[in-house]
Amino acid sequence: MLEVKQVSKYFGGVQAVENVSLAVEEGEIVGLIGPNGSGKTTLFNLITRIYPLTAGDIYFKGKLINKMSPSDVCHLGISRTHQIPRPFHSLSVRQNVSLAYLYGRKNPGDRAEANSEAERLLELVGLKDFAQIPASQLNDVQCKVLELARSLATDPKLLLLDEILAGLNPGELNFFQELILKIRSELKITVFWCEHIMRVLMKTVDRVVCLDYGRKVCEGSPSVVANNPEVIECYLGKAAGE
Amino acid sequence: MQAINQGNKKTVIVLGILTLAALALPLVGIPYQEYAMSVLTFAFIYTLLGQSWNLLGGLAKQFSLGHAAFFGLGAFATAACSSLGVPALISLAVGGVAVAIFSLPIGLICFSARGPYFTIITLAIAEILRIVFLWRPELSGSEGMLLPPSIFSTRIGIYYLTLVLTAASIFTFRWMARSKQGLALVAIGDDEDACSEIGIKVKYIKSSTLFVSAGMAAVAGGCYGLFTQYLSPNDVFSINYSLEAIFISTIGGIGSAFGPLVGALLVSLLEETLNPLVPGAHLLVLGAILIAIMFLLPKGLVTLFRKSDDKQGPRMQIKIKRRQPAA
Repeated sequence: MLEVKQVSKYFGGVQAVENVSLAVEEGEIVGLIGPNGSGKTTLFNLITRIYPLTAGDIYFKGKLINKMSPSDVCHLGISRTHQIPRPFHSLSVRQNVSLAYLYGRKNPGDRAEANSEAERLLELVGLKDFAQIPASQLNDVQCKVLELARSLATDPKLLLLDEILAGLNPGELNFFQELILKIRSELKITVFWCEHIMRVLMKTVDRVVCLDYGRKVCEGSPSVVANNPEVIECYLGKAAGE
Repeated sequence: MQAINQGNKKTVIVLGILTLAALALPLVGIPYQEYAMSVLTFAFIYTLLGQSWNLLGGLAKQFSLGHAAFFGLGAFATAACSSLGVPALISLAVGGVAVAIFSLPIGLICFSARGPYFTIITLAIAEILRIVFLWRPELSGSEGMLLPPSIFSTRIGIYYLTLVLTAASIFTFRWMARSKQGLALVAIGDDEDACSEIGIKVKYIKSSTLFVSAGMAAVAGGCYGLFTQYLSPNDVFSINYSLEAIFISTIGGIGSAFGPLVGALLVSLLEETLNPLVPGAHLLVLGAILIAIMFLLPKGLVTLFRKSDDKQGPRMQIKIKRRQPAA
């Protein structure tokens, strides 16, 4: 479904992403791990076309998306959330979601349909009681949930989640884990998920890709990746004396 | 969104009375009638200009410093048309449409930049136009341009014209602000990248709004030309008009349909009354009053007419609980 082929991104002399290739198949939940600064978010920004590529190709459903605008990529079926949530603060919670419905789909319905779909999604993520309040009044966790609902409103085929679990308490972690599984099973959305909370990630995903210094270190099932010496090294460093 | 109170009966009645008073002003004999009409006419022209700025600046936070460009172009386009013998009203419409179309390539240039860069480009475009018009005698040159007299060079004619157009501009703003596009504009003001990630074609939305905005500013310029019957590039392309547009929208209420009107009325009123009260220092006092308003009512004078709970913008008293985790 998503194919990233030998993609590189340099910011001046900094190699944020270096010759990374990976693929995400339809129906999968793929985890993306790596220490801070390893290029995970940059990779997401390349896929959603917020940054131009330095080199390489990205295909989605067989289409080359290198030169597309971010809005076209969205219409093609890729949607994302942000590490630091970016809801539209001047709009109400429901308007945030219905706006995404109205502009993110190829054949959106009218305002009434957008509102009812927004209500449905807000109920799914548990924000129904907050639909009318301004998004600026939400707390951080609620902002994350709102962003998720907003992404889902664009009717994505592939959802990119950027550290959606950061800063959550154990109950909320469970809620999100179930929600992500539900998004795949009920909404039939493929998930590409970048995360630091290994305990939850490893239990949820089918496959994991690990980045370090912009390079792909290893890829495979959660247990294989967790025991890979290179992965351990990039997180913990080498043992003394080695 | 900074929309206005909806369907408030009281507001409708007050607005109705004010509209009737404005309509009746030229017909009833009151002292200083002509003077009041000309003050109001200029307030209406500024309202049009402010409203045009408000569409982009108020809704989408795209702060243009170059709306004098569209004002001046509209004035000259209307002048050129009516000096060919075209009736004044048609000239005004032609000017508006022509400038709206001209704004499309301008938008392409301006909207390739964001934030302060956008603002500086708009400022530069107005200055370039001023210099080009001064330089080329076939456009106007430093001598300026005369307009033939028409029904709108009379006080009463231009008064009614600008009154009707002001009302139209308020309706246009409300209609746009409440449309799907208005929602997108507010979102663009919050976060452009997040907008494009949910499929909004940001440049298209901005450019199509500039199209309407430029047309509106051009009509304001056209009215100015029809009334004064003389245009000079140094006047109509002057940064003063760009500043006035921002000024009255901000004082009145940025992003609000009635903001520019309220702002324009207050500024004209102050300018006219302060001059005899504190001769020589009226601009100083005016400035001080306006600064005070900005401090006391950061969302503009229109907040005085709103219900008390949203004076500071929408700040509802709702206790936000951390969501209960699902079992």
